[in-house]
Amino acid sequence: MSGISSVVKEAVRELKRLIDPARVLDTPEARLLYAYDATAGQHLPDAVVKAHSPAEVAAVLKMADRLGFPVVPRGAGTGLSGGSLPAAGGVVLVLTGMAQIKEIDRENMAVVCEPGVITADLQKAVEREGLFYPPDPSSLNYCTIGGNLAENAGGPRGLKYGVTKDYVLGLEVVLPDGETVRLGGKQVKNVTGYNFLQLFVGSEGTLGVITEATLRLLPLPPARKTLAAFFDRLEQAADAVTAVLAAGVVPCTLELMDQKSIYYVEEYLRLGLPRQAEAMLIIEADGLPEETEAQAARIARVCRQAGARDLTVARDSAEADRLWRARRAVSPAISRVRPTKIGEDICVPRSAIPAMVREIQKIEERFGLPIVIFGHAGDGNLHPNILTNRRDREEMARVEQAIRAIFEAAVKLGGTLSGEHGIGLTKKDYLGLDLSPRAVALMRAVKKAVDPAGILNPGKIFGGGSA
Amino acid sequence: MKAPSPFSPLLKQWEQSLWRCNKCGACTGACPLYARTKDEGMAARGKLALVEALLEGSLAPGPGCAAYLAGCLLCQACRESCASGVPTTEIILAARRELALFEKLPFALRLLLSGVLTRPALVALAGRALELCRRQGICRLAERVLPGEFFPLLWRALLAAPALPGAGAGARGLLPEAAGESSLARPARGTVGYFTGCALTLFFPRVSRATQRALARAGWAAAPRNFCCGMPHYAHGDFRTARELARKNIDLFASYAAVVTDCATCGAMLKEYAQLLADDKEYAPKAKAFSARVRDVSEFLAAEGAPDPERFPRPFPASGPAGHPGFFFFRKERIRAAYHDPCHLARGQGVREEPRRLLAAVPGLELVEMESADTCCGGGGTFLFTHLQLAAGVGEAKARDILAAGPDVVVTGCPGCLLQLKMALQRAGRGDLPVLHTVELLGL
Ligand SMILES: Cc1cc2nc3c(=O)[nH]c(=O)nc-3n(C[C@H](O)[C@H](O)[C@H](O)COP(=O)(O)OP(=O)(O)OC[C@H]3O[C@@H](n4cnc5c(N)ncnc54)[C@H](O)[C@@H]3O)c2cc1C
Ligand code: SF4
Ligand code: SF4
Repeated sequence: MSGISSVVKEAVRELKRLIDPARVLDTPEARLLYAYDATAGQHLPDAVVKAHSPAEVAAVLKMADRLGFPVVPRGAGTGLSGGSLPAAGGVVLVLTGMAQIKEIDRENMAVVCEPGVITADLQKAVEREGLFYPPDPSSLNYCTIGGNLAENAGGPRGLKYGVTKDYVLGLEVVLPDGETVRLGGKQVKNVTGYNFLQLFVGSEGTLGVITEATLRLLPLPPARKTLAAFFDRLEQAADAVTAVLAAGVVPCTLELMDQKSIYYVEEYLRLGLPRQAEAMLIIEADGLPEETEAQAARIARVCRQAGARDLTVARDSAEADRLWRARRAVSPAISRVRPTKIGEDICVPRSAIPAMVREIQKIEERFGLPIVIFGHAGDGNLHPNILTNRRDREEMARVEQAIRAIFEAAVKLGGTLSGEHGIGLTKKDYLGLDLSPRAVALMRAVKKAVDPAGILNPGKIFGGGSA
Repeated sequence: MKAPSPFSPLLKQWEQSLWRCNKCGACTGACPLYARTKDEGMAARGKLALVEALLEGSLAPGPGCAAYLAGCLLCQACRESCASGVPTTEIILAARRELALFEKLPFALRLLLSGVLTRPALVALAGRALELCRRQGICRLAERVLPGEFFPLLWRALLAAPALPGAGAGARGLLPEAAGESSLARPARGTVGYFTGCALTLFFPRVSRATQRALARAGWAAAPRNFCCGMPHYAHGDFRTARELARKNIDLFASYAAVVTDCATCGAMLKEYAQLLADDKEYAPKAKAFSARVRDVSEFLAAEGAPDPERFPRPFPASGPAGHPGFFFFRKERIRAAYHDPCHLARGQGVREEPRRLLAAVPGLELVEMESADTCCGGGGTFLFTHLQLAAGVGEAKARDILAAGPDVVVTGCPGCLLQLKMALQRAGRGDLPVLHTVELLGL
């Protein structure tokens, strides 16, 4: 690694001539400040460069290509799989300074923006024009569009509206050798050549640095209606989910909280939630006002038929907000129970949700660790959160085993390791549980073709071996 | 291989709280300085990472680290946004104390804090001198003499009489100082201790007068007095002076059942005394009782002094005796007032509703909400002086939100905000927009 740091020293000297020296940093403080993401892992970079233009991004990559040091793209550092951690040292390339919304095109319903725009800022800007950018990761108030693209982020609205990949029309990408390609554009249909646009979506910053994105927008739905339903047994909730969809209604969100989530939220906020209930569903319909009313009525009926013990239909947005408070409070509530929470992100076929939850409950007992489950029931994306203590070595060893057991169970039920957080560093050892050796080899081959020198975000996604 | 931590138990005691930070980044989205700089070291997450490294011994304390810790408005937005309940601002303060940041302040500021603010007589004297300047129009002279952009702006914000719409040259007579206060006052319901903050005494004596008027109308006599609340010292890590001042104030107000203040920052600090002196054998119980007796003036009036319409002349009649000082301000039928939440009131004391309630009850006044009303204005006490550019940048965003709401008057409850908002509006070319304290609209 000392080889790299001396190379980076030279690079810093040269970069300071090309880029405002105030944005080329290698002080001990700056290195610490860009050494973490939301996994709370820590890897010190040798230097930090805050790019303000695609030209600066290209300059850094050209130099890395010439001198041979790793470059790790970084958005807001809210990733949950270690994607922006400089595990092999080198330069962290910070993109938050490129935060212009360049154009909101109402006619073509598209927005052109730089990668550092905060997701919520983009949403607010297009909503002012009566338009709608649906992807809504819970971190939307502080993560970036670049990070969303690189992780293919999703959120509660994914059930009806899909995830980030479904809104990408065009990208400008700087490749590892410093050359720039533009893929796609404002056109909605495009079959010219391979669909490489999507290759970069979810590529976790390993194939290129996204410097501009053109994103598809929808008309802003004028109305929404929110319901909450409680079920004594988890299976009833699962039945309700299936029945709602079978009844021809696609709610925009269908969120599930398990008994522990309900319990800890109740401990924290005292909202009067029934602690004995095994599951709570928060369901939201959106669209034209008449349409949402009809959908809500149908959802309510179906939930009652499935055996809901309690059902609330919010009359106005203030009431809806109160229902969402319970869901939003899950993270704060469980963060207070034990020092560390480790959130996983498995995704199983919808029908397998009850089986998956029961599996996790068994794992909980086997390893003696409290595991809280909540997530997006509509698309089978569950977030089992293990409550533990990062500083307790013995317990962390058990946590590792529990995580592996959860992954194995998910794959066995026809699911996958990660629905939306990515593989990055934290899950790369488990890649083989899900992908065949041939599939992994294919991905490695693509990586090798795009980044032969292995300088862009090395050591991510694929465990061990060469990048 | 790590050296044992050279830090005192005072910082060490926060270690467990630090561990609760899972680096989720939510606080970056709330931090006005991060929004401006996009610099991790400006948000709480980064500062906590540095403090953790200091404690672990993997970072040596030095000017770099000190600069990051000094770059904070103490606006507590991070604390409010943190799902894990990490006491962000307390940790930043403890680290400032540990690194003795006070010693690193510019000499003039240090002199002000320890030489002037600790001595009430000097504060009063300086206040009178400034008042004299204001009356003699020295501000206009200073404007021509002082170099650069910042000081003339500051000077104007400090010394200019509040330019109200239609007030014209006679603005000085605007507030009903001589409008026969005694005739308005009801028989006293009692006397409250009125904690007159240094900044208001120095820069905004008109607010102090308005507060006493508003209290009088609610039937309360005010006994004005104070030692500096100690916040400036506390914020810069000089806990010793802060504690000393706390003890003095507790003694000074010993005989009053209620301690009322019109300075959001002082109020937040006074309510903090219980915490500050928790380990002081003699003063801990007194401090606890004292803090419990402190009320912001809006809090106090909303609870105690609901204005009695019978006894008040309607403040803004559509037509009326032209001699009433309020009238030329309120020529318009309705005045749109936008309220800015001071950090030390909204988050510091949880007081958000009370000032709005009082304002909404003022006849002829329409309360309009601006976007992000409780986002810090960028003043941050002395931050305004130590980080000119950054404070101006945060103020720029605030001015944008204010102007988008289209108010006739901006209202807030803290001298720091009064000053910073005025400067931000001047920079935005709207120095004409009046910026007033809540109480100034109550007693007209
Ligand atoms: C409390 C919390 C809740 C969350 N909820 C959700 C959720 O509901 N759904 C969800 O999907 N995720 C969620 N996340 C995870 C995270 O917010 C997302 O993965 C987000 O997309 C990361 O964005 P970022 O800007 O922080 O990227 P970073 O963490 O900085 O980077 C993430 C990855 O993207 C790469 N990258 C960043 N910018 C670029 C670029 N311009 N070009 C190329 N590569 C780039 C990095 O190299 C890295 O591999 C949550 C995180 C937290 C802390
Ligand atoms: S919000 Fe709280 S837990 Fe999250 S990074 Fe900030 S201080 Fe840490
Ligand atoms: S107190 Fe305010 S300025 Fe300081 S870190 Fe927190 S949010 Fe940022």
